[in-house]
Amino acid sequence: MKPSYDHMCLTVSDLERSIAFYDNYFGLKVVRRDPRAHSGALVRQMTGVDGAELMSVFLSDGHFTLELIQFTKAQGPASRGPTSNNVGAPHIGFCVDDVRRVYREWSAEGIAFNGEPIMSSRGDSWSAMMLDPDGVCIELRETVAVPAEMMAAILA
Amino acid sequence: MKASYDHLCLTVGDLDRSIAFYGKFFGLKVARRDAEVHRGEMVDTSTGIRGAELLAAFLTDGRMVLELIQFTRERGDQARSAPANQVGAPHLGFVVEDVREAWRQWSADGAAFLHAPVLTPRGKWSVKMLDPDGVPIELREGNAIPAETLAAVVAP
Repeated sequence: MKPSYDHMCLTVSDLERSIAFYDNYFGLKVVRRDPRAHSGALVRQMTGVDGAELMSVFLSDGHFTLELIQFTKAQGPASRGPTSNNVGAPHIGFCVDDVRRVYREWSAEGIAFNGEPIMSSRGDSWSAMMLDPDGVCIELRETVAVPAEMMAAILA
Repeated sequence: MKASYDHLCLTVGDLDRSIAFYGKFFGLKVARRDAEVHRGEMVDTSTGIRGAELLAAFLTDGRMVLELIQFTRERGDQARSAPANQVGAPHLGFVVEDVREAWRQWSADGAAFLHAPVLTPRGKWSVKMLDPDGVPIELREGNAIPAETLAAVVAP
């Protein structure tokens, strides 16, 4: 039984706002959108939330698939994502050519960052942590977290 | 400025426990593990938590990269992953050949599941297991987005 990674999902508070954000900044396009809200026993089981009703959409850049779900009934109490030190809090990492330039440009457009770009402890990459519309952290970095050779070695 | 997806990160309660879990069930191997705790201005800025100290590891199957971080100072007040309806709650999706068989084998192996396998409206079996911190992991038969659809997004 060999599992293979497929996608990640985030619960959002406003599907349209998040779709626009991930398209605008990360070029993720809608590849599947279910026109109706999901509800019933299946959704209750799959989410573990009684009375849940949700809208869902899948976004992709052709490689990476991000599912977004918005609860339209039985919404959770948090209106913003968990802070990074809470267990289960996610972040998503993206590479860009020039973190400092992106920071300047996107800050000017109103994007919130945890702080100014910082040099990694390895001294090989600027990085910055921005926030998605719900406060989920998105790391911007200039080098991949795990080099291609190392990935290949694990596949071999 | 084109951003490309790099990795996904989860905050965990116990780094060694989570490394063992993702190794055992999903075949993810440690590609990089920093021996020393991270702290200081860089960690304060990137996590948004002043005085934070954390341990980090990067796991991979050769294709996807999962970073795990454990706060060793300034741990969050949330000791388990938030329920699915909380904004910012993630889940991860993996494809397996036979969901019902994975559920039987892995249940016997001590893995926790949110529910028994369910048949989705698309006629595929699906189940949510829980990682050691309660982060849901969807096991499904077939990719969320077919390869043709992904290829169409890449093509101009």
